[in-house]
Amino acid sequence: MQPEPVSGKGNVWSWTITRHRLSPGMEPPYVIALVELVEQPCLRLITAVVGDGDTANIAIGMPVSVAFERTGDIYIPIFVP
Amino acid sequence: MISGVGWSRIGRRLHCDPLELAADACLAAIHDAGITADDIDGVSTYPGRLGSTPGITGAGVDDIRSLLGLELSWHTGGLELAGQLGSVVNAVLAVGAGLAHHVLCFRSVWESTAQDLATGGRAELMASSAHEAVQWGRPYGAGYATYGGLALQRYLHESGATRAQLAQIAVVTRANAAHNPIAVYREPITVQDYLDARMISDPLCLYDCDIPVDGCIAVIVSKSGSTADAGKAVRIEALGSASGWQSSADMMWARTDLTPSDVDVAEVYDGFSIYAVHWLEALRLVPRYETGAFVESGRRIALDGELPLNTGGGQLSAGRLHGYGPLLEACVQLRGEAGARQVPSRPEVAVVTSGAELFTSCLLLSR
Repeated sequence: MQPEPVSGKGNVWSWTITRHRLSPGMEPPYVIALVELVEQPCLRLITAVVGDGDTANIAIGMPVSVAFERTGDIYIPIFVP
Repeated sequence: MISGVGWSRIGRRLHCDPLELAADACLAAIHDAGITADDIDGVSTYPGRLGSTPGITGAGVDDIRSLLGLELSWHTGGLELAGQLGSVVNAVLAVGAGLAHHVLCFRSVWESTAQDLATGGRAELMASSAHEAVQWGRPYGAGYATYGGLALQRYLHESGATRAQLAQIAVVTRANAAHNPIAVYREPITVQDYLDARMISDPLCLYDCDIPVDGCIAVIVSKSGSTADAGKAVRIEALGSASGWQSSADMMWARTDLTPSDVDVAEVYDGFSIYAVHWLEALRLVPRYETGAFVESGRRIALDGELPLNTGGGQLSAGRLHGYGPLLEACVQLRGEAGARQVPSRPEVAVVTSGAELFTSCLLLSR
């Protein structure tokens, strides 16, 4: 088994708006989504979808692509419309 | 067979020693089976002692062995099981293989007190968890409720069901809890209460989430015909230990002549109410994506309906005992000991499930 590069493109499979404090340092509300990568059905990533702040714009099936958010020396994959 | 059942005090923020609760439940189950601690030669529990979220384990195998002075020929405790009731599945295997005669199975929690003691509440506890499944969601602020919200959103999209329809799961099981003296929440709620409730992980609201509690439930798995009180015996007709809602249910049905239409009472895992929906459909008790219409009136899943659901209140109202609540309730119903919540047409077959996603198991019980 070995890692393979992917395009970073996917579709929103499901999404939720966190309204309750579930994690230290994360102030609600924020969006978490399952993004299905275009390369393979059922290959889904738990991730954040970050848009213009208007959560009403997100929908199941919406195409998104990866972006990377830097935290120290770690790059966290998030998705944007 | 399940030869005895027992439970401790179950409640919110009891602030008592969780070992005490575990011992109470185990001793009650031993007594109920008409045997003594000397007869117990096996112990099985989920998840046992491990470096997990505080409160998730009130007692492990060694605690109970020492507390009750047990001489064990077989024991197990672990997290990587077929759902929480994988601990019962293991006990069935041990008894079947002749490694033990009477296996004490238990689930012990003190989550409610642990959350109360943690200054940052649930969020702080989650951060201290080393559970692998949690780590990938952590950078995004995901908690368990996130997964419930994602599952519900997807189900509403695929099925066309509405939140007002599915609200009946919380409403009806709360009505059942009113007649269950050990349920933690017994005040009735309405569909409007559900729709007005605050969101936890939109579209998942407060009443879609089960209740962390302190307490312990224990059952004794014995070889058929091996205890004094045969009247209390509940037969384990079939089990499904496969990974995944559908695989687990299919496996169970493949191992029995009974069919979904034989089920008189359904005690399904409702860590979030959407998980109960997935179980009902996986078990083929309700056609795929039709649970919204099925539960809409509330009547069909009521105590006197065609498919009484989570008759003791489920985890949504009776508290999170991780599958052992449904198991206890199924045994009590089959024994006809459920008092004011007894399903009137005395049930002969009950189905019990535990877990979600790929962490699953189900049991078919009969009297």
